[in-house]
This record gives sequence, C-alpha cells and structure tokens, in this order.
Amino acid sequence: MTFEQWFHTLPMRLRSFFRRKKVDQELEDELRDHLEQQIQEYLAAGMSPKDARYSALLARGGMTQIEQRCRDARGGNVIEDLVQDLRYGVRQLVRNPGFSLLAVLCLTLGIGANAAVFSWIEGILFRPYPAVAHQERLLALAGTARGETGPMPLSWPDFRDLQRSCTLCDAFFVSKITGSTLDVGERAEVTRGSIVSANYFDAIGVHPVLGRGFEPGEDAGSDAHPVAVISYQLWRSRFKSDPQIVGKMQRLNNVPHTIIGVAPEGFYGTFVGWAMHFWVPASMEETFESGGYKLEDRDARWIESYVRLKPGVTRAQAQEEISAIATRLEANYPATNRGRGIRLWPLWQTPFNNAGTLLPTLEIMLAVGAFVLLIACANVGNLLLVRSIARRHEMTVRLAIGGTRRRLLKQLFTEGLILSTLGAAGGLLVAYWCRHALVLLLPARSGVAMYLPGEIDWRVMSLSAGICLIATLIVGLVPAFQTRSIELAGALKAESSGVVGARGTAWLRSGLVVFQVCLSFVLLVGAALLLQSLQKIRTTSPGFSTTNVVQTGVSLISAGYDVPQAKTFQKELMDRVRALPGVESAAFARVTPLGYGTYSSTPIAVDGYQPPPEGQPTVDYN
Amino acid sequence: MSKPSDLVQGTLDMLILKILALEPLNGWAVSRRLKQMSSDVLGVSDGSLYPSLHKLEQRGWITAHWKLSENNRRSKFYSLTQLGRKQLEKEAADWNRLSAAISGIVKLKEA
Repeated sequence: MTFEQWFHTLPMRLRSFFRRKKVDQELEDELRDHLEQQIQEYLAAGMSPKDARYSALLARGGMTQIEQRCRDARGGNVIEDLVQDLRYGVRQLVRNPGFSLLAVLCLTLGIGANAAVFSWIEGILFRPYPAVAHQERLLALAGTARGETGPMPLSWPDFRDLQRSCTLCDAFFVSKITGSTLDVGERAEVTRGSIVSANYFDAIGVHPVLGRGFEPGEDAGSDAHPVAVISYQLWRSRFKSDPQIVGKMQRLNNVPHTIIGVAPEGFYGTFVGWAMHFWVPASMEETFESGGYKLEDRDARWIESYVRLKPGVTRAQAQEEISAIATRLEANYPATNRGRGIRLWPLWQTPFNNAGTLLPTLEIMLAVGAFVLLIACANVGNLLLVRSIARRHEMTVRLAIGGTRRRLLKQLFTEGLILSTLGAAGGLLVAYWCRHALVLLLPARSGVAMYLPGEIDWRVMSLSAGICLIATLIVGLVPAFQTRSIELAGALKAESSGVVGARGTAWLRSGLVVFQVCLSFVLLVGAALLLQSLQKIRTTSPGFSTTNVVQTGVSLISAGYDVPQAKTFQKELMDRVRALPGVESAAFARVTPLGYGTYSSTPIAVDGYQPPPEGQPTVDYN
Repeated sequence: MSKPSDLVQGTLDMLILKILALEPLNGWAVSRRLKQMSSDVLGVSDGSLYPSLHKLEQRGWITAHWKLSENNRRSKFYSLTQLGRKQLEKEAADWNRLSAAISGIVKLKEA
C-alpha cells in the first residue's frame, strides 16, 4: 500500500477495532437497506409481501457469511483477531498447565543458553569496556617480529613515535596489566592494576569521581611520579568510602604512592579477565616491572596498548598508515627495529588479554547453544504435534463451520508466539543470572579471581528476540503442517473412530524424532570426547600428588617487606600453617607447577652458540 | 457456456469504480446499475458486492456517507475518491490492453 492509502486505511482500521459495535451496526443497516429495496422491487413486480420477503432473503444468501466477508475485507480485525487469539491461546495454556510448563521450560533452556552465551560474547569480546567512550572504534595494538608467529609487546619510544605521527587515529594509550599486594588496615591481598600512559583517562573518556586523572608529563621520568588512581570498588570496600582519600599515601609494590583520584563506579579498567583496581603512570614502571628503566630504551618491549580510530576510518586504512610508520622506524633505528612491524587487532582478538584465549571456547559454546535450541524446538514441536492430534477435532469443527485455514494458522502461530515469548522472558532471566557464571569455569590465578562479566544490552536483547521469533516459526510450523492434512468429510467421520495420527503426521513425528536424535547424538559425542579429555587430564600423573592441595599467592616484596623480613615471615607462616589441624604439609614455591605463568631463568650457556655481546640467552620455564 | 455472472477475476473492482465514477450510489443501486449497463449479461451476488465495496473503501479508492435516498430511507452512498480515479484509469488501461490482446488472438483466421 502507498502512503496515501495508509492515510485512509489507518483511521478506518482503528475505527473498526475501537468502535466495533458501531461499525457492525452500520454494516447490518446497510445490508438491511439492501434487503428492503429488493423487497420493494419484488412488490412492484406484483409479488405478495410474504413471497417478496422470502424471495429477497433467498436471493441475498447467508447474512452472517456476508458480514464476516465484509469484516475480513475491511481488514480491521487483524488486531481483533490477535487479541482474540492471544486470549484463546492463554486459556489453552492455562487449561494444560503440565504441557505449558514443559514447553516453556524447554524454550527457556534453549533461549536462555543462547542469550547467556550472547551476553558473554558481548561482554567479553565485543563490548568489553562498557564505561569506555566509543569502544566500537577501539583496537588493540601489538608488535610483530620477523620469524616470530605471535604478537609482541611494543617499546615505549616506538609507541611515542606512533602516537606523534599517526593521523587516522583519535587516541593512543597504554594499559599494561600489573599487580601489587595492597596492604590496607588489617588485611593485605594481591590486587590487579594497570600501568598506563598519562592520557589514559582522557583518551577513554572516563573521569574520576573524586580528585583527578593523570596530567601530561606524569608518564615521563624514572620513578618520577608516584601517584595512583584507585577503583571505585576498592575505595568503597578497602577505604570505607573515605571522602578525604585524595592526597593520602598508599604503599604499592613497596613504594608510597599518593592517591590522586577515584575512578567512577562500574569502571574496571581495560583488560579482559580481571578487574583493575589501581592505575599508575608509566613513569612508575620500574616499580612494577622487572628490567629497570625502560622509557628511553627502544629495545625494551613491554607495553600493551590500544588505539581509537577517527570516525569513518577503517582498520585497513589505519593499518596501512601504521605499517608505513613502522617501516620508517625500521629504517631510522635498524639496530633495534629491523624486521619489526606493528599490527592492529580488533578488540575481540586482543592478543595480550583473555579475549583471544576465550574466543574458541565461546565459539564452541555458541554452537552448543544453537544445538540445544534446535533440540528444544524439536521437543516442543513434538509436544505440540501430539497435542494437535488431540485438538484435531477442534480444528476440524472450526474448518467445518467456515473458519479459514489462514485464520487457523494465525491462531496456531499466536500460540507458538505465546510459548516462545514466555520462553524468551525466562531465557533472559537465566542469562541475567548467569552473566557472571563464566568465571566459575575458570580457576583463580595467583590468588585473584577472574572477572568476566556478561553484558545484556539492546543487541543481546534483539538477538534473543530474533531467536524467539525463529523458535515461534519452528514451533508453530509443526501443528500448522498438521492442519494441512485435515480433510473435512474424512476427518469428521474418522473422529468418532478415534484413529490418531494419519500417515502424514506419523511421517512428521518420526522426522522430528530422527532430527532430535541426530542433534542429541552430536552433543553426546562432543560431551563424551570432552569428558574423555578431562579424564585423561585427571589421570595423567604430573609426578606429584594433586589431591587435597590448595594454593594461594603472596607477594611479600610488593607488600613492603625486605628480604630478611620476608624470610622471617615465610618461616613463621609455614610453622603456623603446618600447626593448623588438618594440614599435613605446606610449602613455598616461586612457580606453581603446571600453572599459567612462565618465568625466565638466569642466563644459560648453550654449547656451540656464541651469544651477541649485549644479550645472554635465558629460558622460560614453568 | 459459463454462467453470465462469472466475472473475470479482479474485474468486479474495476466495474464498481467505473459505475461510481458516474455518480455516487448505494450498494443496491450499484448492483442494479451493473445489470442494466451490461444488458443483463453481468450480475454480482450480494455476497461478493459488499465485501468488494468494503475492500475498496478500505483502500481509500471510494468513500462512504450515510444519506437519505429518494424514498426517504437512510442509505450508505459510495463515491469515488481522487485515489480511486487514478486506480480506475490504471485498471481500465490494463483491461484495454489485455482484452485487445485476447480478442486479437481469438479473431485470428484459421488456416
């Protein structure tokens, strides 16, 4: 229909819906008027009044049918039908609570599993930093080196040159994960934080709620600016929301830092995997990083950084410019930069946090979610099919008294829609409860629990709504298929003999069962393989006993202990832990066996290899 | 031979539009007029006429007003709208093209 037509149609449709009585009355008047004129004509032709009336009625045909066809022609009853179908559908569901509950639970599971996975993918991969301005234009920045497959960190001078020469990017900033023991009041615990460039808070558009962010120049010099911004959560929990916090001193990695600001609520830094609780400028890197002063050393590669593109710039365009700058750096500083490049990564492939490592896991989860949804749909479809056989009589009667198939289908789909909408609502609730559940699957590392929040935003909502519609179609299609085969005369007769399941239905039912069995089989095989791998991991002996072992991390030097103090502490801690009832033995280790971290050894010598004068080979071990 | 009242699918709408283009009429008069104008060849049952009128009204091609008819009865009169006039022109042109094509074929001399 054209816009002009809608201009006419819409008021009429609304009128047929809201002033139904009046519209119906008018229709009746119109048809009666017609009848009267017919009678007049017959009378004029010389019939008796009785005959004239009789003939006129005969000529007109069924009043109700005409009225119904007129109503259909007006189309105003789209809304009316929907309301009617909804009401009828709800009544049907309430009448069969067992069936309804089962169907809704099935769909809740199917849609909920998908919505939860969507929310994780959204919160971890696509929108990991909700407080950050324009994160859709944010990209991760990492170095490459000839002969190395993996991404490399960048050096501070390279980063600075990049920042100065790049024209297609809004902002460059550094955010390198670090940690420190935080000793406040009576409790000390390992806390994660970031070493950042001075422009960090301005670049991401996050403004401290108390105090200030870093000022330009605070990221220059050797241990020159011992200042820190702390997270809102840390301020609330460990500093008891102290309003006078700004200006107070806090020891971080054994160096007193002045707290200059508190980040806003809901900001957890820019690292997928852990919530950040403090930020220090890059000038403090010596305090937190090994390897001494690195801000003027082009050969010291340690930083992790991000860029934000200018609006309308694509990743490929920015990559081209950045590669050109890297080539120039290579020419200017051949000693340090030969064979080195710089590469942009989308946030969901960020190589230096957990986004990249979780990507395959989430992909598998997505596939499993889709399978679960299909199985749930097949299940509910089967339930509906069985019920539609029970409802065959109702359908047949409705067709017999003049209901159109179209109308019947509309009703069946409306019932499907009610089921899947309830399922979707339940599913979103499940997703909401599960939004932090991913962490439960991952062990805490170095004594700090991971932070992997799901994000339920409008994108997740609309995806779930889409899934709900697909489920409606699948679920509604099954009984709809069933009505196709209803043959009035045959069905009415067959009804009494109680034959259930014509050939067509049986075919559909077995088809659904085969489909379900296939999907379940795929999932079962997947689960079995997973369990087998798990079993192998559990039974493979690492060479030491792993049962009843608990571990935690302590970082004494960062808590302000000197070496003799730390030794005393260790000895005392061991003695006291060993004295605990139920503790058989206790030990310290620098490296957790089979843990995630790697450590560099002291320099080693390799037979027949002459190391370059300025470097000595080391090995990473675990 | 088929019944004379069998209208080619879709032509009823066009005929109603044409009849209403001449003057506003109520439903009864439309059915009479159709019969007269086609010399009793075309007829339409009430079961088709009224749904058709309502559909055309719905599409904005005709509008309806309640008026007193000659014999002083309240009657629903339909008249053509500006949109309806355009639609009629379009359908009439289509019809002329179609019927010319068909009669051209039908009139071919057999060898």
